[in-house]
Amino acid sequence: MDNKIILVCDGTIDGIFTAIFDGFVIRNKRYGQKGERYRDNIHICIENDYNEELFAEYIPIDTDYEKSFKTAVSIRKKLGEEAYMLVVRALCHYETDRATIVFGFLVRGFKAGSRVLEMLGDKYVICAMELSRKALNEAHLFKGFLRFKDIDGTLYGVISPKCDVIPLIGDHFDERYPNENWIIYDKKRKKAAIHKKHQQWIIVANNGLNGEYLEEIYEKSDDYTHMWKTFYEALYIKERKNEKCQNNLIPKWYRKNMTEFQIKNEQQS
Amino acid sequence: MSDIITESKKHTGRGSSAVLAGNISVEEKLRILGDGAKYDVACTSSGVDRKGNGKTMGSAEGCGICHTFTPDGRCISLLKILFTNECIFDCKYCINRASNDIPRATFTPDEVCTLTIEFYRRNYIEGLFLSSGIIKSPDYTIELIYETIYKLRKEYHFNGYIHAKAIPGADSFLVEQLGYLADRMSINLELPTGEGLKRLAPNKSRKSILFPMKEIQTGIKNNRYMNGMHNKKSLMYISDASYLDESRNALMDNLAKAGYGIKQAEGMSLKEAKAIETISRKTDNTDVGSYIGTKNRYFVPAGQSTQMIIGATDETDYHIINVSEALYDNYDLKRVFYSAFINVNNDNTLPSTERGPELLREHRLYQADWLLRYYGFKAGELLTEDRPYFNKQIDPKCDWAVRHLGLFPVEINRADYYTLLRVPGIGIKSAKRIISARRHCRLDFNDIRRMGVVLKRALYFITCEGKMMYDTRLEESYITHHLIYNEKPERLIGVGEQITYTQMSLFD
Repeated sequence: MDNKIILVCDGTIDGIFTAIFDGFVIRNKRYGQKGERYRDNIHICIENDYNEELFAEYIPIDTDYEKSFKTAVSIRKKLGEEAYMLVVRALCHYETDRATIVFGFLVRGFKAGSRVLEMLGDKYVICAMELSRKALNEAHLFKGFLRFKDIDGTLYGVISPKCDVIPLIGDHFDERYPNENWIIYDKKRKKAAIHKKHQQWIIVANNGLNGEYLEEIYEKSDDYTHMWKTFYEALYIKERKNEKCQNNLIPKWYRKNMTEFQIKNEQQS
Repeated sequence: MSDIITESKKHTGRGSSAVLAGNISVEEKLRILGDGAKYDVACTSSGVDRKGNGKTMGSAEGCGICHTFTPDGRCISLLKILFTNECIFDCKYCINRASNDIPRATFTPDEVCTLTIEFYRRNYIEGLFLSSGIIKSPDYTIELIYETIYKLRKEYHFNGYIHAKAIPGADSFLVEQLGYLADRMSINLELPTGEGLKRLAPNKSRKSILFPMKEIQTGIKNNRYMNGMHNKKSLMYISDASYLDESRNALMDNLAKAGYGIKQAEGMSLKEAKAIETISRKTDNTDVGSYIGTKNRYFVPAGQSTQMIIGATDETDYHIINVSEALYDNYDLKRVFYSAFINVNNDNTLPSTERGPELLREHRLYQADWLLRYYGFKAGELLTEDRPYFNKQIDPKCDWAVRHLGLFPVEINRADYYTLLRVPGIGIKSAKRIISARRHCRLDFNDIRRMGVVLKRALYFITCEGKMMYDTRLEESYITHHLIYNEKPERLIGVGEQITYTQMSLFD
């Protein structure tokens, strides 16, 4: 019987890519020569986010940027850009097993090449696609639901998404506001995308980021906050009231940081 | 600003409302003119994919982005406002009709531009939707709209989405010029028949609506040939061939043969436009060549749309979808919107909507509309003169399927794309996924469920490897009944693995 092998890495994309690299090394070592069939028993877990199992071999993985880079290059080369983007998006999802699913996807991918994207009958492939699709969908919604506030000429936006959408929406806002200074802050993951006028946008995480300050600033309202609320209320047709439909299209957890819904709450209380 | 308002004062001659218009803040105007625009349905920001230019603000996404949803479940993606709600027309269904005593307001071009820019910066909106009441005359109104949009594009350097309303009866030259600045244009058909229009909107005529629609269509068509963009109908097919050079050359040849000079336009200021217009009027040379956009600026790249009011007059659903089909086929529209009639003016010559607007009817029309545009259905297949209304209980596609059971069941592993598309519960995405996945392995019900097929509708109509999912009967009344009540067939007829037995207890 195959023993479960669990690689434990940190949750960053580099950490997971390192684990994938090491995972392939282990797989090739143990299953490559003997001709024994590999049965998806290598799992990748994220520190502090998994349940210990009794009959499993645990291997801690230290993030290694060189290995991570090599993984990225070979995915791009052998599977193509589309599959690479799929992997990156799938890893932005919050699912605990995301790294394991992506590993399974890549095992099949390196065998089949870019055709792997069509193999929707396979469990790992369809799961990876599903994760990617969900992360992309959430990112798409946040492209619309994010609200900026103009405080002294800088645009501040705060979101608390389920998936890690910041890497997925940065380009969109970069393209849209090339001549603005803006910051998008992810409350949950304590990371931010920062853009300076006419420069490349960057992601800043953990250290070097004063999250409380950003959240505090975001509490303020600017000149157009009230105007927007007025407009929002003017567009509502009472005869057509259908809150169920509204809740389907914009579930309540999205509304936490949205200007038009916040002000409403203030008035009620 | 002030001269526009004084003019409007003179024009309407209603002291009370005009005085109010003189003193109100931008926010109040926004409230009044947003409220006036809300009955316009179209708020889509889709149809054009435009990257940012790296210098000025704005981009557009092909799929469109919804920014928020109102409690009636409609999306807000554009700053949807009227330029003014002053109107010389007296359409019975419209809240802004001349005979209504409501607060009136008029924006200035700069106010609209600033609002758009500031809202856009804060990511409230995708762009601007500018409509208007008819102030003074259709020509005067379109000039104001043109000026505003020109300013927004050229002075405020706004590169986002703009949806402009063409005003029926307005000067066609300005309508055309507007096409180079806006992404989408629309002219509301208002009512499905010319008769209804005559009765409810005495100032509008069918001809004044269809003429600019045709003009815009010609522009879009030429532009599409020029740039090798595909027709919306090709969305139905799996792949669209690129025929850029061929089509461009063909267009140039045709225009040359017809003796037209090729001129490329990018939108000009109102002054320039008027100067050119006078010249072309004098020489009687309507320059069709100028319909061609440049590389940077297409003519109405997101296509044109229109809107019909449903339930104000007594057309049947059959009639309405036939009109839609004709609009899609003959006018190449991107979308037709349907708006369930709400009697906002409590006009007793119109049907009462005290029990709420006919939202279900509107919903069924939208479903049928999708079938026309993406699934290759024809209006005559969905309804006939004998059955002129949609089934209230099941959707048009299911309704069609249960009436054509001879074509089912369909084998998932063999059927072609167009046959798959006709199965209820299978959409464009899942049909494409099925086609590509089955090259690699045989598919069963679990596989296609994961691909997004809605089995609760599809299971009556499909087989995988020659087997149906449950022991269901291929019978009209049986399937209809199950679709309506959404019952699980295995529960009803006792097959499948879902049945569990519980231990009888003596202590109950």
